[in-house]
Amino acid sequence: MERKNLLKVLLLSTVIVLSSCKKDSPTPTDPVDPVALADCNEVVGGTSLMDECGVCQQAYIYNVVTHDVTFLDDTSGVVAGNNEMLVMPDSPSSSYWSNVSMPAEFSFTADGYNTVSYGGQTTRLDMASEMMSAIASTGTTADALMGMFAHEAGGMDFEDADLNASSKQIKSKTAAYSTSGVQMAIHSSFDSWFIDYANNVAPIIGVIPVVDASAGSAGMSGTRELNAKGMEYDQIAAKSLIGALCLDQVVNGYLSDSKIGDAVDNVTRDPNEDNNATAMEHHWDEGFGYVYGKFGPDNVSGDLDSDGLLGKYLNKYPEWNTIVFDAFKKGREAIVENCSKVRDEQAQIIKETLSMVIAKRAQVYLDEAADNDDLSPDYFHALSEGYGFILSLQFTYTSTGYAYFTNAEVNDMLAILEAGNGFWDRSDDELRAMADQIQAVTGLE
Amino acid sequence: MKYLYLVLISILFIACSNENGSSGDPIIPADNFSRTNLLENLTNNIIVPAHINLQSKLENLNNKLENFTSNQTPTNFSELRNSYVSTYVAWQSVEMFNIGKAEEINYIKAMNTFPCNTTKINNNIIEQVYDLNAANWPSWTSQGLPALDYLLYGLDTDSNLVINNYTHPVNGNKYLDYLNSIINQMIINTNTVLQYWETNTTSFINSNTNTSTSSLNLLTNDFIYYYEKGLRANKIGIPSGKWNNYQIYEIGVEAYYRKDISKQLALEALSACKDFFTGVGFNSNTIDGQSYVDYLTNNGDADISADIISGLDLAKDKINNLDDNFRLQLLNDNSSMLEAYDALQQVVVDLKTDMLISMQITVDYVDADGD
Repeated sequence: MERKNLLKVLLLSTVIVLSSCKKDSPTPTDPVDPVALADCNEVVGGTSLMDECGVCQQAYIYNVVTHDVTFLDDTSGVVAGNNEMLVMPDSPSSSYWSNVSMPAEFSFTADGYNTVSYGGQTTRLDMASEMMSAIASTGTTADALMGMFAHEAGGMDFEDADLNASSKQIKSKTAAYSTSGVQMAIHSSFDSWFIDYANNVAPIIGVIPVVDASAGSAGMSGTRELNAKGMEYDQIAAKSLIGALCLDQVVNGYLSDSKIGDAVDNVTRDPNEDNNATAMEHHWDEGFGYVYGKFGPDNVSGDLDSDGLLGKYLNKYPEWNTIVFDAFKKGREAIVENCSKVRDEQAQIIKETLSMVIAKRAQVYLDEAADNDDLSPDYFHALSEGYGFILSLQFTYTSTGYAYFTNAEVNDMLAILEAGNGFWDRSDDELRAMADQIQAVTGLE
Repeated sequence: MKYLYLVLISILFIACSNENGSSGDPIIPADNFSRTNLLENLTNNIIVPAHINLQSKLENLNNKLENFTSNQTPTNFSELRNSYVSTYVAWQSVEMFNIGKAEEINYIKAMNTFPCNTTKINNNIIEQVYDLNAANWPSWTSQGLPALDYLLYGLDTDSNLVINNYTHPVNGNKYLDYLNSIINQMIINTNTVLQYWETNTTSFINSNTNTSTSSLNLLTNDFIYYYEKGLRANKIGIPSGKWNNYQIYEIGVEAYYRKDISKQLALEALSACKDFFTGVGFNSNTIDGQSYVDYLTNNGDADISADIISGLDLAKDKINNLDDNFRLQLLNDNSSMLEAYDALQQVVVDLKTDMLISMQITVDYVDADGD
């Protein structure tokens, strides 16, 4: 491996030398368009090829006895002599040709030890999980919910003692890459949901006789506990966190240039920090953790069965799940091999695919709400899920580098859903129109 | 591995280059930009003059202190206070250079760790036992400009009554002594750092390679670190509660006790950053040599420097919108502080990713974002 890299380097250096020397030499006049016929080394009729890492690779003659390597611009007419073999650039026996392999598992080692870790992500997903059950339980106070959301080390906010001891927090990582004003507004929304839930919804859960929900009054609709606008808070909060926490942290945080770009350290390892991973490797793993981390450490096979947030919905689309998991594996391998091009391609695949999951769910739940019996428990439930996924749309990352919808556009949609008595007042046509609006932007079937 | 790669590139580069003859040269950057020319401008026209300017402000401060020590009149006190303000302003052009001797003696921390620890300062004054050279937080938070701020404006709830502490028949001399100690410490430290720069200018400028310890790599990382931490976080982000759920932190404002210069200091710091980036000389106000802008243009990345400059200008507008006194701004309207934070943050991305990638420099510090 070390030797292979050394050779790669020598070759790359040679390429640079050749091209930099060439600049000074007079350009030969050529009647044919040289661009059309030139290979990646700018050699007209040359046999060099661009490998997957964006390095232009030459063919070469290898002497099996002396191990001498002679690089060739063009192999036409070249015959290998005694003890020599002609190696084409993309030949499987080429020592230089780079094809970042896709490992079977999300498991990577340095100096013989596993370097993958994402404990902080697992912790936050576990915190979110407790918070979601609390916001569907009777007797929950607003302070308790706010404590879970903005946990500080040592606070007795959770049932799990390990979570209480942790210094990790959900709130500070929620909408963390939005402007301060937007982040503050989203935090306030969560706080207002907690307060409304504690004051008006929690007290009616389990009450006999049953308090039925009605337009303008919190109450039960079947097993669903609704606020005065027909919103089911655990769904609203969970689906909002899928975008504002999980997706945002991956697509706008850990897989962004500031975390995995070429300026990030991919050399230094410290056995006492981040499992001996480089900064770049660790950032990639932390991104992985927001999707696959609920499983706990060493989710080498990408198991999503235990996830309740982003991973749960990715899991509903097996094809996309395969794409995302493969891209996480291949991109991580590219980081190990210092191949920026493949790393960035895989990061882009992950960002776009995860964003599609969000957009697809927003659209599906709006349509489902429209299809369900009007004002049925299933209607309120579906629309509550839709509300959270719509809020999440502002955190998506598409091929343009922007979200499918801006914060302002998302707020307009949410305002429509909440207008008047909220979900009680929505017509099927309104919901289908909104689903179509999303579909028109995403182009997803 | 990356190291090796650069070694090889450079060796081969030299082999066909007619500019760089000496084959013993270590790693040179893979672009053809002269880092030495850039370092020369930054060092001779910005770093050294900024330190000399600070040194002269501190000398002036010391003169005012001597006047006040011999005669505690309100006029002498007022002149001492004014001299403190101009020293604090001069400091804004120096804080980003946490290199060499400055780093070794914890110069930046000793000069400007705020908020200061008033309990510790009060104890130091009365007990008269302290070590300003101790490399620890209790020491850093009880000296430097923030401690001076407290001593000149914060010793009484009414700033007009502060002078009484110095004229006090029993303890007055203890206050004067402490004032003298911390100003003296700032002068000693600044002289040490300036001497380092003056002694090492040539070797610093000639360190034109691209390794993690090469001059431009260190300087650029320190510049960005300062922009991100010293300016963006310390002056705006932390007071506005950016990392504490937007709970304002009034006492975290720079020059908290003097009150009305916090905006001026932030603007000075921002302007120093822009001048550093664009290569504007500290004294001349003209560009006399190469700059980061030239470097990026050389690499075909003029759009990156244009983004950085317009980002810095936008941040300046946002800070200009704020009250002269950030304490009032926090209390009246934190959202404007946060807008200024966002504008500053926007440039961090340009500097830390786009610019560094273009210059092939690796970030040498980790942001403490709690994983």
